[in-house]
Amino acid sequence: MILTALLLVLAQNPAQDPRYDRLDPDTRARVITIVDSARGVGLPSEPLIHRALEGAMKSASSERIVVAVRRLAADLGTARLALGAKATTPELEAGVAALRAGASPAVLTRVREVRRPPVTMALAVLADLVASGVPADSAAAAIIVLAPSARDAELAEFRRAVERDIALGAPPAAATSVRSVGVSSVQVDATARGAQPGKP
Amino acid sequence: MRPRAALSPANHKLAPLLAVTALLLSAPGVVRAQAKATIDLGASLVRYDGFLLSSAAAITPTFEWYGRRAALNARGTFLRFESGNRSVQGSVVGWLFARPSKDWRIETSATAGGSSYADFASFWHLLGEFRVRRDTERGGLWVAATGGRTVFGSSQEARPVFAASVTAVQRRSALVLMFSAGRAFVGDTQYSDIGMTARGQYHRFVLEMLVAARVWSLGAGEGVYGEASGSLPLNKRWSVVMSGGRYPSDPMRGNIAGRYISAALRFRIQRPTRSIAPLPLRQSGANGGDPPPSTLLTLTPQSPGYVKLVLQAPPASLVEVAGDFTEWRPISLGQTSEGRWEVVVPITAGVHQINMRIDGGPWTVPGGTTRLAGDFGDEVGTFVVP
Repeated sequence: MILTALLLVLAQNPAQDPRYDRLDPDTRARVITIVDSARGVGLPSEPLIHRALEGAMKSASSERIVVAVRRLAADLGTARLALGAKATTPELEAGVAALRAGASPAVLTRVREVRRPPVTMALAVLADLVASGVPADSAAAAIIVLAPSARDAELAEFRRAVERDIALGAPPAAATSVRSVGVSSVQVDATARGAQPGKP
Repeated sequence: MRPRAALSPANHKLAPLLAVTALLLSAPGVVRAQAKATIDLGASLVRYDGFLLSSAAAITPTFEWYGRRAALNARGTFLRFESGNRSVQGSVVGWLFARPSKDWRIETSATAGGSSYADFASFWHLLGEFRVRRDTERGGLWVAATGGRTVFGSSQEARPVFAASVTAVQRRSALVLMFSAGRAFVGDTQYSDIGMTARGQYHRFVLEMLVAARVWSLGAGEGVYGEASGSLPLNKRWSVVMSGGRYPSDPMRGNIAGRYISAALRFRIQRPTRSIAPLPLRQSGANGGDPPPSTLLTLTPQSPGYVKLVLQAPPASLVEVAGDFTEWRPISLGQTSEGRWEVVVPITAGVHQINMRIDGGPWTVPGGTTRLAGDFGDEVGTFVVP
């Protein structure tokens, strides 16, 4: 209860959050302003605080920390616009990762439209694919095909399969296209083509 | 699995093959990160050319394993016909993949298999294939040459096998088309197959169809044949598989021509892997500096809300990680064995960021995570906790 009460106090008065003590006074004041502003429009504050703490741990300059936090706040806003007001913090963070990887806000919106929440894994896989070298439009096409029905575990498996094909030398877009239609056996197992499932 | 030849004395030769398959099936932990094992339980109606229509119950275990430079596929089928006769068939295929050069890659494979049916003769085959393959974003081209031996019964000489084929692949969003043409020589028998395979997926339903023709045949029959199969997952472990059609004789593997229709329940033996770390991605070597060699992070869920981070790292006296889940405070990992460092931390579901450092060195990205440009002139690794 004490912890809950403390968290409630901190939520109402974020400037009292002891984590801010890791920032110098000038940085702290500017970050708190950005966080308060973000909170005021309904954006989550934790990712912003974490970004500031990351900068502090890496001994970044005050200006750089403030720019990073401000940029993340803007990206969170873009992600929320694309994903809708009901998007959760993990979904927004995954959305930001996808946006920064090169996906467009329209793609985020499309994923949200075709998949029941949460869309965290779908967006994270999208970001991973683009970071792996898959062109953003190819990655988006694959995820949009899979998103309506694939479970999170299946998306993760799909992502691993694509990464493995890329590691084996397949062009990233080709690997994504092939894996998204589940043709691994055709792709790899040319000599076992006769082994149709169920054939007596 | 068609009942071809197969002599009864060959049964004891099949046992080691099935034993290897069974061993692999029973040891998923060895290769679980990239392995899949299933077993099909089904029923078929089949009419082999020259035989009466018969129903059969079938059990078909399969095992697949994929590595970075190699792959393995083992498959067996046990059939019990309404006559009471039994048929057993098994095959193991192994691949080696050469390091790719641009879009080109060389693959070699070796296939060993055999079958036996009641007290008829058995077949055995041992084949090797060399394949040159080019993959592009929209398709690919494979040129393959196959050589080996096939044996009909225990009292006959092995017959030499040689085959060559060309396959073109076209990919169109959710559809893959393969066009192939090949010529095969098996002892005195020779034939050509020309055909097209289409594979598509609509939501979770996967459909594959083959239409082909056998032409310029000497001893292997001629005509048009085709097969279709579809699979629909019911849940994580179970799916329904249906297939049917007509296939030609296969002198290489001893299959006789036949028509069939079958339905099966497929059970996935392999538990979905609990590791949530991906394979290492190609490293970009951007601002943050290359990661230390041979680092690999894997994450394993523990009790609810907790995840074990396991980091493979070069010899060191101190390995630390930091991320949003530590409020970006460095935490030390404990060494559990040479090069293996672990820590259990509370991590919520979602996307997380991480950096690591060794012996107080620079913060880098551990292998096994996705590298993204950071906001502080470096790079961070990201991972997802489902």
